[in-house]
Amino acid sequence: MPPEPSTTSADARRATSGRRAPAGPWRRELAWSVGVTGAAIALATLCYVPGDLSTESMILVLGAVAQAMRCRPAIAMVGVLLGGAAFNFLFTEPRLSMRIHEPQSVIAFAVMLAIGGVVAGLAQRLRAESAAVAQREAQLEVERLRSTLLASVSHDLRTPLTGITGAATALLEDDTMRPEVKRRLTQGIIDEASRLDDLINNLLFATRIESGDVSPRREWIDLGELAAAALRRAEPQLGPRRVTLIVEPGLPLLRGDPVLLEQLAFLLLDNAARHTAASCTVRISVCRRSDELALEIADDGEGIDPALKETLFARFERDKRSPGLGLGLAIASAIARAHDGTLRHVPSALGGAAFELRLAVPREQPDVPIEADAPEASP
Amino acid sequence: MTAADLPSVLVVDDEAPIRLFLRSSLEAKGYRVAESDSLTSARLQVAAQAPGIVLLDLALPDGDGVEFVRELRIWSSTPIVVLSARGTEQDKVAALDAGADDYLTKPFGVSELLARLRAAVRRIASSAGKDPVRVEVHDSDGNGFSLDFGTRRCQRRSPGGAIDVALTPTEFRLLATMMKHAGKVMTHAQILREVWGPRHEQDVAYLRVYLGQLRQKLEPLPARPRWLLTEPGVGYRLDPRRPD
Repeated sequence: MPPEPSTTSADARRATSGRRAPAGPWRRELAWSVGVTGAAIALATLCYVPGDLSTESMILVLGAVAQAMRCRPAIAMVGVLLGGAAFNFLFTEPRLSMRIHEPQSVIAFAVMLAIGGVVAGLAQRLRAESAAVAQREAQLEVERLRSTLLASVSHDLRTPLTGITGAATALLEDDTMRPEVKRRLTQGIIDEASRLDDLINNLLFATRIESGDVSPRREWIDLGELAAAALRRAEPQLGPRRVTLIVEPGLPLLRGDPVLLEQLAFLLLDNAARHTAASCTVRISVCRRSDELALEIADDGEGIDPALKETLFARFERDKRSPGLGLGLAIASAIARAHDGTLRHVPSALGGAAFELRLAVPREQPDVPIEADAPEASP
Repeated sequence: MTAADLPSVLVVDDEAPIRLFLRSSLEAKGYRVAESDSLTSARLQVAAQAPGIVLLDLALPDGDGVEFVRELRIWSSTPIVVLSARGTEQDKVAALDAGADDYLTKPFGVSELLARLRAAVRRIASSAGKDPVRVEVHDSDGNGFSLDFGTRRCQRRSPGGAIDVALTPTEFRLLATMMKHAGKVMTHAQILREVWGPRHEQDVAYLRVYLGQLRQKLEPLPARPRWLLTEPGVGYRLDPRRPD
């Protein structure tokens, strides 16, 4: 098991960016401060009535408070000074001069400065606190995901191990066992071991994809060929289910990562096998849909529990009726996204569940020398 | 083939349980088995005992398995089958391009192990004698195909009988390459080099197109091939599936 569960790095990134958000760069704060103060001055000028300055001073005080709320104290002071100077210049007698006539104006100005400073200081502390709360919450979320993962993983690893240990000790301790019992126990060990292998593969894929460790390779691939390879690998999982594979002839090649896309098809087949009875039918089809190729895996099982539809592609979401970690579809959809494609749950023509992968067909196909079908065999 | 003809196998793996599993299942089939738990001891054993086949774990603590393959290939043509986990396709390709003959993805079962060893043994036998003139693959239903290297005649067989298949020159070279190395996985670069020449080692698209054409001409269900198999991220394998 990987030491760091896949969830941490992405969530940690989110938490860090959350911390940086409130304290914007000083240029933006200054622009905000000057802008709000300017707007207050303009509004006060519009409301100017000679002789009564109460409206104008209220507007300017409001402006000072409003700009201070979004700025650090030093920059808030710039706005307050600007507003005070404008008040003195525009409204107090003598008008259109910076001379101070009445001592009251000096007091009013000092009060404005104080209000601006206090508001800016309080607002800054509030922002810091809410950022800290957001960060703590993000951290808690990471912790929660990590413990879900650990609980889920240890449970799912232990279940097959219990089966293996039980069967192996039974085989070891009972020499008189009938051959068919022996065979059944041994087959059980093999099946459980392969389940463990699938789990570990999923965990590794999830870790690698989510940490951004693997960027998909981009080479020319044949989607039908990869579907066939995945089907071959999924044969033990599918068991006696009737499986058909339909590939439209003459499909174009795509650009993509063959290992990841084969894994995606395998995960969908494995998912179908997990959620359908052994008597069900699974149909894989690869065909062209205008400028995309569609890979669809459909079955005639019970379909998807409507309650699960919303969270189908989320990690650790799983149908309680069947075993598994709930990572398969999350990984499959991450692989689709890494290829700029989509993976969706679609209505199934067979009546059960169906998933469809869509990948864009590149604008140009590779230059492959084509020969005439000259007969080579000499009779 | 009798037990006396079976080559000795050197198992190179640092995990004792895996060596035990390999030793017991191989000895049960009549192979003689020697073990190494590191590359250092493997170097000594290979030089001293000249094993018939080497089963090599790629992830050994004391060095790079791919480098070991390259070293060994300088002076020996002993078949090497590499053991490696899923998700390490690049390592497999590196080992195969360095001269390893085949690989097994861990975990694997005995039947898969024995099939790979049999393929390796066949290759030793065929390289010791003269090249085969005609190779044929078929399944128990009576489907299959054959290729005669001398006359370039390709025949497809079905329960109803055999019919000639017309191959283009490139299709013939590609099929001949795959048939010559039947059972062994060939990396993209190896096939491209052999069929199109060293300048086209990177042109994977050629393989996608021409393997598709061969499947259309030779496979009973081209969309679901039984012989011309894809090994995603590694290459292609012609699986002879001989009922032996």
